[in-house]
Amino acid sequence: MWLINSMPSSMKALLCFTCVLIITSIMIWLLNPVIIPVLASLVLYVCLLPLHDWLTNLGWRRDLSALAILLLMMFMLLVPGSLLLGAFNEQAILWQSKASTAGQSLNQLLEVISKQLAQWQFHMEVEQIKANILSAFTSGEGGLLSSLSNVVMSVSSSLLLVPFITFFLLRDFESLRNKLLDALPNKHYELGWLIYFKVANQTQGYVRAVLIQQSILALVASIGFWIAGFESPVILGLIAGVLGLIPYVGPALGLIPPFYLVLANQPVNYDAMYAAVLVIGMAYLIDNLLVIPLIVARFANLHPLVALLSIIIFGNFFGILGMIAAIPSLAIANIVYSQLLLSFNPKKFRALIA
Amino acid sequence: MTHSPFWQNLFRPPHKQKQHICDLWLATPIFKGISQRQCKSLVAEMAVRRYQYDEAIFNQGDIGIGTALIIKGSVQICSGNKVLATMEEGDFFGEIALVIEAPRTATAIAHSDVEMVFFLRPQLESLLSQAPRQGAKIMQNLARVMANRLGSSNALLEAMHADD
Repeated sequence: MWLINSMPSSMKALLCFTCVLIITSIMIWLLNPVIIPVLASLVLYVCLLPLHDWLTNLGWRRDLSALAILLLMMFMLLVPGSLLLGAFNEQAILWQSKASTAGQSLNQLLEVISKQLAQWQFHMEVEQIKANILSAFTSGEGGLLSSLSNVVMSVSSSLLLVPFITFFLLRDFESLRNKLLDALPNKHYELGWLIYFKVANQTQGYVRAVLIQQSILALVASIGFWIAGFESPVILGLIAGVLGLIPYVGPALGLIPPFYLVLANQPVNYDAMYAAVLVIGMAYLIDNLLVIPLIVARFANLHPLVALLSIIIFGNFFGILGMIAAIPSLAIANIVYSQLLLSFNPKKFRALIA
Repeated sequence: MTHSPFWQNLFRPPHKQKQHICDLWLATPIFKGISQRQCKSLVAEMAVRRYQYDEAIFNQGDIGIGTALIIKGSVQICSGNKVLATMEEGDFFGEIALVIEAPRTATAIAHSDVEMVFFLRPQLESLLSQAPRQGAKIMQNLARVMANRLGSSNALLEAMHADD
């Protein structure tokens, strides 16, 4: 104990932060088998909380309000949700069956590009590039299309679990939270609540803002793909919206499905590729110029380089889910560490307030 | 170990004092005009904290997040070595933290074994968004309490200047 007491405040904060990090990692590791439904339920909980609060303020009992929301969710998820997922899965299988056609078209395209580059004294290994791209799409379990199909299947199988977890979160989360925070020692009671509320505010705001942002992005992209004459514009728009969750690389990833569709249909309509770039470009332009500054920016104030590095590192360890969670995780870590630093260094806090 | 406040807070029996706490809050100027039902729903979220004699509840300069109401025992409010006030059952202190995120202006130390509850700023903020009328009433009451205390401080300062 004397060792901790003699530490400088920044070291104490770092030690405390490391403990929080270890506990969080253990919890994530324990929740690993059900991490997708739990995360989806938490997102739903954040979205449905205002409705739940509104109902309880009208005088509804907490469990009745949660039950009403559960029934509403079941209806929403089971009827249009299952239809959408079915259509989505059907499309993924159809796209997978067109892989060889897409491969041939890609070969032709790469040869045209190669000839053009050769005129400018640049040389490229067409076969090697083609093999790399196609293997990324179709080969084994890591293939983009098979992983897309797997994600769709795993989402559908956990779909039934999500409403029940959300129901219990709506009914019991606050009492569970109170019990956990009440277990804090007296000395850190107020600090614990302060950190919890700051993190909860930031996370709830971020989740709601990102959902609004992605919905607008998906809507704009869907309309764009529909105007450009693509088949399944809603699915392409939804994919662009979901991939838009991945900062920085999302736009490039969003171009893959429309490009693939263009290449998978003979004869290849290269104008459609330009149209896809235009649609995605316009959607992200609206997103970056209007939606992000108005809705998202105030919830995650991170340096672009830090954000980019965190996406790469999180993506390396946890895949697409890690890339999506990188920014909010880092923003939360930032709040926790700064609050710990301030609480272990009251002089700095007083200076900040002054 | 069983006497440690940590274990008492962790393994305390289910509390049967909620009505008593509600009555104490309603008797304070902060909760004046608040309905019994609203008070009960706020108290349901408050946990009773136990402090041993001479244990610091908070120190001057600490980050504060709410006001505390004494249910049992007494608390001394100190600045340096000087005791500014002694609070008893039903008294509340630290109300500035309900309004702004500011460092505690004084130290609060348990003068006996103390039981108390905290009314936290985020609770007030959520009350303001969920039941704006009741929330506004608390804010108005808080403004009154602080204006009164400012008046008392000014009177004290004037008296000190007159003595000089």
